[in-house]
Amino acid sequence: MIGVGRPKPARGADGPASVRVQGLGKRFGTQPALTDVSFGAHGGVVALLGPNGAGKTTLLRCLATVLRPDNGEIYVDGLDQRRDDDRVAIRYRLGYLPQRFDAAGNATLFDVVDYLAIVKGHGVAPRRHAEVQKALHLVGLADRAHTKVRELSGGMKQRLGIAQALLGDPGLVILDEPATGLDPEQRLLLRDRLSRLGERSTVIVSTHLTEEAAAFSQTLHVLDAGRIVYSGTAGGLAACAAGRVWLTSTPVAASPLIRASWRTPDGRYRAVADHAPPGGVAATPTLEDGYLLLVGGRGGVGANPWERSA
Amino acid sequence: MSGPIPGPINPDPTSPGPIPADVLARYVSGDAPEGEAIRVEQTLSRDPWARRQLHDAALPVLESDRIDLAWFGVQAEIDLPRRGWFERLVVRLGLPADVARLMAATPTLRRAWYLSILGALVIGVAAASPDRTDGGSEVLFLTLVALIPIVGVALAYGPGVDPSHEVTVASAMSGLRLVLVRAAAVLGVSIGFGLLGALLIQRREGWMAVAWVLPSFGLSMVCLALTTFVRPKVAAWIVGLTWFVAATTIGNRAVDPLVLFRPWGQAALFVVGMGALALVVARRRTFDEAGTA
Repeated sequence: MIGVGRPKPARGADGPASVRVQGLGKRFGTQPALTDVSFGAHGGVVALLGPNGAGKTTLLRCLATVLRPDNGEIYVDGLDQRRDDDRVAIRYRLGYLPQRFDAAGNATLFDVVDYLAIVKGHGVAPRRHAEVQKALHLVGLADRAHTKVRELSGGMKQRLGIAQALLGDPGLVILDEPATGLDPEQRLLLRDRLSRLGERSTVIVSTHLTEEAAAFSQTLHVLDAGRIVYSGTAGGLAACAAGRVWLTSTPVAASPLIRASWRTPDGRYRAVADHAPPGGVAATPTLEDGYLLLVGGRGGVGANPWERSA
Repeated sequence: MSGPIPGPINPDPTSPGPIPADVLARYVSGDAPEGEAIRVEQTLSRDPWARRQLHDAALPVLESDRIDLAWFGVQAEIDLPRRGWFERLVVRLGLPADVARLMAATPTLRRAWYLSILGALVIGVAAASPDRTDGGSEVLFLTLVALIPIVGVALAYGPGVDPSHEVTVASAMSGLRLVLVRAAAVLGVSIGFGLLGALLIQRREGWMAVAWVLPSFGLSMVCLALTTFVRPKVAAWIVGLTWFVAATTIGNRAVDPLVLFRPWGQAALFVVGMGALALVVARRRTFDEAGTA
């Protein structure tokens, strides 16, 4: 008879998982996606911030044991991800939401989460069913347990993905852009859930929105071109731009010295640069300014992000 | 108990309560030494603030989690969705409900695939003219019926066919185990449909009804082995097309058009299938990873 799962290895202590990443590297063909990435986390919410293509998703996929890095080490509760037995043990402590989450359209929400609970080794019904119901409740979908996936909006599908990631109170929760498709009220709910979750688990979240990173994380790492270019608090990131943010009343001419510049709603122009543009007055830096100082202006022409990403 | 009433267990006036947090934690977990536990209980008996401290710090966290989960369990059992027909059938056949749920989630077991099976069977049965005695029409029927599980197994698991593939890869269940559970489901359904088609053509040779089973198994395993190198849809195309061309070509040119479906042919394809299965097991790690981004 085909069994459902292998016997569970002995679990470590409950509570937040400790994560240590050392010298992580990953390539796709000749293209480096991650280079010498190192950081640690134990409890709380950690945000990975960076532009598209910075390597956030690749890093999260490596942490979630979906991709094998080419070099470096990842330890979760002392377990070495390179060892097959340890990978399985890590997966027992893991909840993961990939960047693109989907489910079979004709399945109900309960069926989807229950199926994933089985593959995650969450025991037999009815306890497993209780965990499924709890997970749906956490994201406000308990009253839609019988709804088919194809009837859901994009935001509800995203919440379904978050629900399965929270099954069984995992010690390590990895969420790749969880706020995608959520309306403002749902984003607030997500921030609340993540904040509470961080008290019992280690949560690693990726986002490309600075205000989101500041709202729900205690620590954030900024990635750019596969490397961590900043590690610290949101306040520290803003402070990076101290003395480098300027306001002018006239448009700022494009220059390799200007990291980013844009027109503000009040008709003035804000610029991030090492030196003041003509007529520039020093302004108080924000988190976004610090972020742009680190990752902006790579194209070197007025820091137009669409030109930069072309 | 006689003797002077002991002083507060925690004489520190700046503490949040009369009992230190570490002492309270040991007491709640049952690890406090006897003397310490007695002092805690004496403090609890005379100090309402200490009782409040115990209530706030420990019991609600433990009890509310258990109570919440019990309530969710009740909700889940009351509102449990009715299992689909496939799951009910699998459970009735004696398999555990968990396995039935895994099988039912197989991407291939959907209406589109069932319709494809019916289409292939209609073509095969229509081609199996009772007036032909050279075996040519049986070759077409057997070739098409054997093709069905190949496609089904190849599309039962993997990126591009399973919408929750990445989450499944990151789960604790062995990818190989899940693949084999799904392959068993697909093969089971295929055999059912295939036998139905075989009964419809009603040949004198009874073995015709099952002549495609072993070749189908062997080729399904080859397809599964190939998915450890290429994407499932590519593997299905390669094996399916190769099989169709080879079987029909042999059927048209060989002295015995049914050579692939005679006992020796079936045995050879079965051995090939077992070899492919061994390769699948050897490369099982590929089912636990998502490959490149």
